[in-house]
Amino acid sequence: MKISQVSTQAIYDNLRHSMSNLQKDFLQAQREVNTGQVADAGLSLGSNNGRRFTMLTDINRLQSIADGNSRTEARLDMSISVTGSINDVAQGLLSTLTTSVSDNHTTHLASGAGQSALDAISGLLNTTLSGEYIFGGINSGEAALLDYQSPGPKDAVDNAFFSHFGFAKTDAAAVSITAADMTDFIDNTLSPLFTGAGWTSTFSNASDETITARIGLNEQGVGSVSANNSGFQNAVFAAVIAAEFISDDFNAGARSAAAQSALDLVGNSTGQLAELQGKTGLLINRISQSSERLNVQMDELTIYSDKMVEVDPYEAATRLNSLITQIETSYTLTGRIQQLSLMRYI
Amino acid sequence: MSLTSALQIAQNSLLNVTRQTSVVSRNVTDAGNADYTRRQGVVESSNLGSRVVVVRSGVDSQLNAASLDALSESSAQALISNRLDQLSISINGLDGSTSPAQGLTALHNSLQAYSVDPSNSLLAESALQNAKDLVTSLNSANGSIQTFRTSMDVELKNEVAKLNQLLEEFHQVNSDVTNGTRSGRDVNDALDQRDALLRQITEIVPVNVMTREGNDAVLVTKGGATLFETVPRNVTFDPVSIYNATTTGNPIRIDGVPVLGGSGANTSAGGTLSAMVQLRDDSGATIQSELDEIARGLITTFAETDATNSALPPLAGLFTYSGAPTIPAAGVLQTGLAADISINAQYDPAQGGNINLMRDGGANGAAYNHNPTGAASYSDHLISLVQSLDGTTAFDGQSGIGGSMSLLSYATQSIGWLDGQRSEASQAAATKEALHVRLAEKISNQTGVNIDEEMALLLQLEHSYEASARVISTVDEMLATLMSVVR
Repeated sequence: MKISQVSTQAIYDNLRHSMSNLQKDFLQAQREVNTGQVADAGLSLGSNNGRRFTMLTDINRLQSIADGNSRTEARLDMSISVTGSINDVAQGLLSTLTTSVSDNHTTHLASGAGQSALDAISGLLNTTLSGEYIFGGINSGEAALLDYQSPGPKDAVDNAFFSHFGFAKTDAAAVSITAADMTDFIDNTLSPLFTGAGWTSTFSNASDETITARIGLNEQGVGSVSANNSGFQNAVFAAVIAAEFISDDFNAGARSAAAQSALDLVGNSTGQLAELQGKTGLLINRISQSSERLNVQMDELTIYSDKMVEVDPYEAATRLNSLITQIETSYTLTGRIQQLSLMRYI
Repeated sequence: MSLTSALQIAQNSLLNVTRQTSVVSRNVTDAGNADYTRRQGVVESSNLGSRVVVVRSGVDSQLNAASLDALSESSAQALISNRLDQLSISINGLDGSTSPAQGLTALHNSLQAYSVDPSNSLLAESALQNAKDLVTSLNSANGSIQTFRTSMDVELKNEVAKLNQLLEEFHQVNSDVTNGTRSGRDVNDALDQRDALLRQITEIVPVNVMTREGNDAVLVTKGGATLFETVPRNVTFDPVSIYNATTTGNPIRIDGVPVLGGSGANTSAGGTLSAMVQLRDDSGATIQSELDEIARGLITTFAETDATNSALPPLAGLFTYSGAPTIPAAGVLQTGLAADISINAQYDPAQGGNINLMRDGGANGAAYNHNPTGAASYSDHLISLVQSLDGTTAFDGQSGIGGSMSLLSYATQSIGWLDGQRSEASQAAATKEALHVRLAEKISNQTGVNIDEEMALLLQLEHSYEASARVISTVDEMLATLMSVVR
């Protein structure tokens, strides 16, 4: 009686099956050796692949925030340097005005300096970065500072003068304006044009509201500087006074009073602009810190997500080698087994 | 005993040997035929010498039943694993490259870039384009699933036709077996054929086989429906020609009893019919509902909110659907939304809309406009949109993944869900196939032919033939000697 039997069919089937399995494994191992990652992440990780995808999308999203941050930093950087330039203009005005106060014969210098300071400031405040007025606040589509000349803020300044004194600046009566009158006019009638609603309706298109930027997944920061800052207002105020009211239309006392007011304003302005630069620097600092955090996060996530699909290169190479050996053995065996027939011996 | 009887016995032996040789030759011929069961020429003694009876190798009936079960389970599991791979490729692409999660990330990124530089209309265009792409990908994923379900129905129809055909053949062969058995003919070939048909039937639907008197087989499905008894029973199926998300597929009925789909990635289904029903009604519908939930999440997340603090309800914004402007009920699956979702024409310049609505809101009237002055660099609304992608929403548990999470993590979980199913199905397919192969090998070992053995047997027969021939010639010589003495 037979204990066990092996059918010829089973021998060949077995060879066929083990061969096709080996070749399938071989393909997979080859891909793993080449890429250093598992051949099919979905199959090997199963539902954990969802976690890997969460990380991958997070990396992607963090990158987009980091990219955005560098755009915001560029805008703020530009704001700082432009603010610096305006400060320089204000400093220049300051030194001219200082001489004007003490020396009554340099009035034409002061008025020229005021005019050119006004032009320079409005040019600088209307700086654009790829079509966006960077000092416009959220209203970046329009020039931050209106052109001073008529029809512009100059009309408002002239109107203010007329409504205060009852005659125009060029009127002969202007010579009789006293120093006290001039100071009163500047402090009480002219000054509201350079602050708050007066400023935004006369000089500026900019909005008080600055651009908000999302600088982290759940972090927002200020992303721009508005032209409605008192540093800019005072600098413009001083330049307007120098350009308009330190002229030969007025007597020496009035001129001197105007120059003194302008001097005070421009002095305040340079301080305020320096402070603004410092504050903007802090904004940039905050953003770059956030970017750094984002980079660290991205690196971590990349490491973890890569680790999930990583294969040990040595292990994969060894596996590939042993598969090659197995397949070779299998080929040899197939040959040998086919030789192994009683037919050859009888 | 006489010389004549010695001659008779030797003759008989020659006859037996030739018959056995013919059995051996038949065995060798069919050694490569998987459906062939080895025959054995067994010598039986009778008072007139011995005679050869052809016997078919038997097989352990339990082993046979186990092997049939393994075959039907393996065929079901292989089908499920294979089709889930296909689905995953057509919906999520290679390694998630075309998945809704990827589309959402792209939308997030372009919105983020836009929020940093809201006055840049190119960035607005790109965000809108990404939103359109996302809608297209949801719509087409929805289409893929319905095409998949339709193709399942076509395959089911073919399988049912094949099953009916097999049952018809089974009927004929079974009649041959019963008739032959009754009249004492050799029915071994018919039995082989019947076993082969049975294996083909088992791949389609799992059956229990009972053999009655006269070798008559009765087939009953595991579900309890009679598939074959004396005559084949009807298997009926009415395919649906076009599927949409709300279509329910028709059941397959065997003798009036519906075939139930299996459940789970390591499926409980046996046979291709049950596996296809599972893929069509269970897997397909679950993935569909995940897409529907993503679509609902999008409409809800991008809904426009009241800008005036007067408690107006949120209304459909960038993403809209046929039920707009009210947004879909929170936390409740709305079947078919993935096909229904579209870009709000009011946002799309190509359809006469205003792209700035993305920055400001306001498609539903001035009360929903967060930026009434139209400031070019207003970014707060955009930022709140981007951040709401991270905000939690309640998702319906009916969709395979439930609970409160952000839209983005829901979308990535949806990839994870499908990959989990794939991974489980593929492992189960390997296990079930291994079991099937192992059992088939065992049965082949019991019933198959070993050529070496047949050759050895042939040697034995050759010798026995030689010996019998020698006996005849010896008796002949003896008789001749006797005759010459007598003469």
